[in-house]
Amino acid sequence: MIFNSIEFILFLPIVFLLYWLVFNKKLSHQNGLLLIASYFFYGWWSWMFLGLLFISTAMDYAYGYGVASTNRKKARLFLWLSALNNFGVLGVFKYFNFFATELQHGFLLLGIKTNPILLQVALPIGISFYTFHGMSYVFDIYNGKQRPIKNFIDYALFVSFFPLLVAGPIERAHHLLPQLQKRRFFNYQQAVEGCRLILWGLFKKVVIADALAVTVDSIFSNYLDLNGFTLIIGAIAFSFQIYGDFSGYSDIAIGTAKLLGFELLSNFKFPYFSRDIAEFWRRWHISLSSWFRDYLYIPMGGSKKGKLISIRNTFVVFLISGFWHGANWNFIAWGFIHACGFLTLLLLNKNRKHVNTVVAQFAKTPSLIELFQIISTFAFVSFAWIFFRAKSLTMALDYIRHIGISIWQEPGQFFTLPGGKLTIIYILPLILIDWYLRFDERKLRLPKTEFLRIAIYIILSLFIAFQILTYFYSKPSSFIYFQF
Amino acid sequence: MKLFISKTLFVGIIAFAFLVAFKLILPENKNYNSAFVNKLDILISHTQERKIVLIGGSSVGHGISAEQIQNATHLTTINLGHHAGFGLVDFRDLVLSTINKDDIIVFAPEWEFYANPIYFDTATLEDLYNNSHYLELTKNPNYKSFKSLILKKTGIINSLIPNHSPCRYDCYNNNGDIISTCGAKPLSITDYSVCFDYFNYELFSNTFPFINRPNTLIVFPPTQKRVYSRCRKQFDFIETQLFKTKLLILDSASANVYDESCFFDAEYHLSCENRILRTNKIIPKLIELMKISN
Repeated sequence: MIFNSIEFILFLPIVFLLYWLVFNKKLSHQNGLLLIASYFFYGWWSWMFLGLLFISTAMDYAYGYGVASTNRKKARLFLWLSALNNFGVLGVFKYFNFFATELQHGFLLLGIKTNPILLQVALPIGISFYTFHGMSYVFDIYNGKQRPIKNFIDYALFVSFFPLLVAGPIERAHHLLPQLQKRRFFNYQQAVEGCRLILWGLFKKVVIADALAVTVDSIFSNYLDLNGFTLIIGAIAFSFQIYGDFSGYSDIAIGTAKLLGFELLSNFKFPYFSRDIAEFWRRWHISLSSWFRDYLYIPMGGSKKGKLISIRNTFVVFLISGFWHGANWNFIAWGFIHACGFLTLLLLNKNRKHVNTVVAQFAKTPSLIELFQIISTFAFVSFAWIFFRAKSLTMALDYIRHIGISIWQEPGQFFTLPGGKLTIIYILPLILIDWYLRFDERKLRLPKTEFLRIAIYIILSLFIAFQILTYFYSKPSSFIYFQF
Repeated sequence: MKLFISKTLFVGIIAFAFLVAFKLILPENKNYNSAFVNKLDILISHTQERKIVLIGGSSVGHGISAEQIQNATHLTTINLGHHAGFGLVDFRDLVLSTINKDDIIVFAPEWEFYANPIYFDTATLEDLYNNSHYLELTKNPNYKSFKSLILKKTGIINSLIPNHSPCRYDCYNNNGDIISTCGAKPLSITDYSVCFDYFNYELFSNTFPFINRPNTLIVFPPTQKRVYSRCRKQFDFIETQLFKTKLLILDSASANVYDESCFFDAEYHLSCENRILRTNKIIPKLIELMKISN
């Protein structure tokens, strides 16, 4: 089941009403209902992979007890077993075919012909997310931040909680589990904020990202026939498409959790207003980047063991982050580009320049310097997105080469493309609204007059409903991050 | 809790009321893209009859006259030629499910389909029902009642597209030929390149298996003179590969080369006068085919 489907629009109110009106008397009832709802939500996509989700959950639950052992050696053994188990699952379902094919290519270079066995199995949705949830639990116990949980239902719900099951935000055990272990009470303000986030998230996904996808797909499918200027616009449009798509998803997830009385971690903080690449990574897919920071970068020594170790760690984290997104060289290249950008700041000791500030904090518009910083960071990020969006590394390089060779030919070509003119119509409001909201991603600032607020809700709902109903008899478009 | 539910319901009901109002008030938009709905409807309504079906992109819609063929052969002829950007693969199975053994197919794909049989342009499809989902829609018994809402949506989108588009919804005749260009002043013709280096016959044949039927006639697309001279090497290669097979091919790529002045507007769009001439070349072959299959 996906958030922009009719099924989910029916599913959510049913769960909401059952949760607050029928199963609200006891904590165990609340969690039991949410666990059933979460498995139903996942099983709607594929009931066969429910088994994998359950086994993965049960294993990490057991490892949690092993890691809690006072014997440090034994604890470390269980920690490794958990990592092996989770990476093993990922390896089989996500990376097996990639390594098999690459090995074949390697052997071919040596003149040896092989016939690799390839797995003909679909990638279970959300596998990269729920395995990371499981690992976060075991790591937190190992680091003393979390105690093993007695109630299996609570733990299973932590891994499979439906708002974040398929595409995050990747929660931390020490953040979500305490909320799961307390009975929730309905909070009007929290529910209203949740509804607003759901509406805004759906709008970003269904109306903006899906509309931009039309232009982006067209440009990336026909890039050989298009000029450089159009290809640049294609990359920019994809930057906004993926932002609308994924931040939209995160908003819906956070909003849904709020409706049920939970506060999830933030995942996006207006990343395209970042003034450098380090700030971008503190604002883009925050739950993943902080996961890598806490469970990989810092355990490897972070930036405290000298420059060389910092450089190594930065590359490891960004390359793995790229590889996490997909088993393909273009994702690794994407990670590499970001590593280079980040490293430049790290070596100049400028990577923490914009930690706790927001652009134009005390002004309505950015200063010229800030504007230059925002545009140059965005240009860098958009350049890297070409590698992310392309189907292969070769295609990405070819796309960039075409930008170079035909940049000044027919500059008006973009506007003759179907949907071309609309691209600006979709991007501009997103930038303006984000600029207005930039101080707090979790609370959407709305007019104080109730009439105006309701009018905004209705307009957003209409746009969304129109779009969703259009595809009523067909499949709604999926979220980009579902493939990871 | 009650306040929250009542307010949410209030917003939901108002939004729903607006949606219903939109459905009732907005007129259905009729345009080039939405015309494809009608073409498929025409085809489906003739499923049981013996017929001639013309398949291809807009070069077929503009460049072959189904009406003329029907008059000459006395067989129902349907022109399915539509914008090549819709792709041919998506609706292939639907079309084939309506084709009987003795039906005749005239297959005239644009050069793009030789290089990439699964070619399509998602941007164009958005105007219709978002890629191949449209086909799922047509198979759904409820699609007709829902069709109007979608046409309204395309109406909103198309209101942003210039009105001088030569092919509007009402510019098709009952056979599906584009007739709005007939008698109209030609627009400027754009140059383009189709010098694709890649052609894989096996892939082409696997994608369009109906080309191997004894009743399928293959016709090369109408090509501008300058484009032909530029891409001749590639066209020759494709032609040679096709001639090596047992496929029924009307003539040659060079026989479909026309001066730029013969086109109405875009790349493959022949003017009405030249469509007549081109169709006249196809008719004798079709009559011959009919005799054989009888």
